[in-house]
Amino acid sequence: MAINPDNFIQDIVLFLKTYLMASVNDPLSRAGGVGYVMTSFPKREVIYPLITIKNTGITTSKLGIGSSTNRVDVKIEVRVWARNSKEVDTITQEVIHDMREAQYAVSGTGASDIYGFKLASCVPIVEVTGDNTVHSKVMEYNYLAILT
Amino acid sequence: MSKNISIEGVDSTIKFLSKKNKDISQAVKVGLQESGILLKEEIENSIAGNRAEPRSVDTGEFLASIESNPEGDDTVIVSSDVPQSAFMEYGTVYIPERRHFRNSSDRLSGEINQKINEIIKDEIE
Repeated sequence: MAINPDNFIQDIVLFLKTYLMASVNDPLSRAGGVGYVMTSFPKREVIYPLITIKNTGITTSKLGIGSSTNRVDVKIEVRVWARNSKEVDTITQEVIHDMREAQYAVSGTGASDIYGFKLASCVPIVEVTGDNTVHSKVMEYNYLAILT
Repeated sequence: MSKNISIEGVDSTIKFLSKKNKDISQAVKVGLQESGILLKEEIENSIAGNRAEPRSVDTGEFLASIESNPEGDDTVIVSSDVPQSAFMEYGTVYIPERRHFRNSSDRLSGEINQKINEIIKDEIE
């Protein structure tokens, strides 16, 4: 799958979502239709653990004077929401491992014209509300693509 | 018969380059501190509601907590030590994110890069 210049944000986000859905192990057996990897935090009742993925920034630069080809740098936020610190750590490292491996996979990011993998940051957020604690880790990945 | 080859001015060249090295390091340090203050002000403007992000002022504690501190010769850390700052920045189960730090950094990254480049260029010339 190549990146379509008209839909490059959706293409990249959906590609990574599909990739993570297939590669990251879900510790729960979910009923049909209940997602594990999503592109936004669900409005209905949430079943943890959960992975959300979204685009958080874009910059473009021309590849030479007079060139119609652009390099686009894309920031992707992958956030793991889990029930305890062990679970969030386990899933986070699995996500990092799979995103890293995705560069070289046969149907991975490189094969889909998504280059320049970089994990720019990983920030833990622990949210205590009453008896519940939601542990999350916010990862920011940088990718680049060429738009022709 | 013998030929002597000598290069004159090696000592003074080394001294000159050594001084330049110190001058550039010092100028970059000052430039980084100025950039840190610039970023701090941009984040404060963002929190105060003067940018695209939602206003995040209630008691003013968060707004007043932004600090810019140099660390070592080549780092400046702009941060807040109030506990809610991470919740504001990244959002929680209940509140959406308010990207004061990251958006401010994105807005200023080009300007800061240019500033440091110009400082180094000025010192070399």
